[in-house]
Amino acid sequence: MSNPQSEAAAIFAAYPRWRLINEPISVDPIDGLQRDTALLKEVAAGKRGATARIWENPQSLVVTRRETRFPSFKDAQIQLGQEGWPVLVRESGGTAVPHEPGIIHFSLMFRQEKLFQFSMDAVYEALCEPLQMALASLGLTPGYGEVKGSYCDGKYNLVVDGLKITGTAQRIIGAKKSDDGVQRSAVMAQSMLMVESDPVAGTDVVNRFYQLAGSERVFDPAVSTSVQHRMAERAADLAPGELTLLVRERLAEAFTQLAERG
Amino acid sequence: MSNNPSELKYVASHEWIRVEGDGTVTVGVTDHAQDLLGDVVFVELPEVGAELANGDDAGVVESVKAASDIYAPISGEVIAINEALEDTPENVNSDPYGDGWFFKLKLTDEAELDALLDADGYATHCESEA
Repeated sequence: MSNPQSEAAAIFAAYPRWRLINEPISVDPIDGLQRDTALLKEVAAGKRGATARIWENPQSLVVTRRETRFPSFKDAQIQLGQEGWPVLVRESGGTAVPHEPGIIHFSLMFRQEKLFQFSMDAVYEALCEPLQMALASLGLTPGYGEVKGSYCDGKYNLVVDGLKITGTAQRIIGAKKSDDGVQRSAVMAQSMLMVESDPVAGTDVVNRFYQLAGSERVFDPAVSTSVQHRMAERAADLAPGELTLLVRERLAEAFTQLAERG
Repeated sequence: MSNNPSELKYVASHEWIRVEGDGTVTVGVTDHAQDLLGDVVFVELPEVGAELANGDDAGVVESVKAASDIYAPISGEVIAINEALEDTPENVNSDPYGDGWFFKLKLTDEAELDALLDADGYATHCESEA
């Protein structure tokens, strides 16, 4: 369990038949979010094999269960809903994150024969490897690292030029003990890659939620970025939506390559 | 794995069970589990009065790395939860067998206790997962 790099490769190799679900943007953000949870449950139940999902959601703010305990959570939910930012609750941890067109979500889920078959670090690396390959194909050089002041911070952010471009989270659920007494589990790793979304506006809405909900925490809008910002003039000729489409294609290609190599 | 108290019982899903001797048990997660999870930032516990069957979801523990299910290691009614974890979830890391306890159950069937692992059995299980 001490070498995450080889363990990440082992994750792709452990499942001979990965399936990629490549979805258009959801009509309803609740559907987009709940689909991840539904797929994870199917994976846990053994009804579905190892699965990756590329998806996008309409404008919404997705918070964690912990954040629903903030003193004025309900007020914040109502207010932001009226402002066009419906507030939804996700299963994984971290902090509130914006969803909107131009943010690509990439989720990886698979069943484990033991509760912690793979280390959480290895799962994060398996999640991030296709993202890194997709970004590298566009001339960007992402690395891992915490970004002080960013929302949903963690050591498995992807960072370009010192700025956060991807946030990640993980959820582990139990599969019912089988007759042989083995405690299996299923793990889902989720990521959001900012492509054409405005990182400043995204941080502003997270900050507004925290303020309305009664938390004093404030995130720094200057520490996040997007693929569009990093590519600058190289993406200047693309029509709105084209860069997101291109990144989705590169991500699907990278994932397929890794899954087939495994 | 020698740091698992010998007076406790264990299950493969990395919970410990302290048999209180009055038909109730106290449940928490093991030192090994908290080490795998990393720094715990939030614990969602079941409601007092909930009837849990062995293996049922009993809450969620969220660390800086992942949010993971908590399971009922044995069947029973929830008679108390550790409300202090709301403000001090880090107790799960610093004192998993003490202040980091999760909930107490009134047992449905004491015979289920026979199926639990002792400290040596749990240590063997952890080695098999390594």
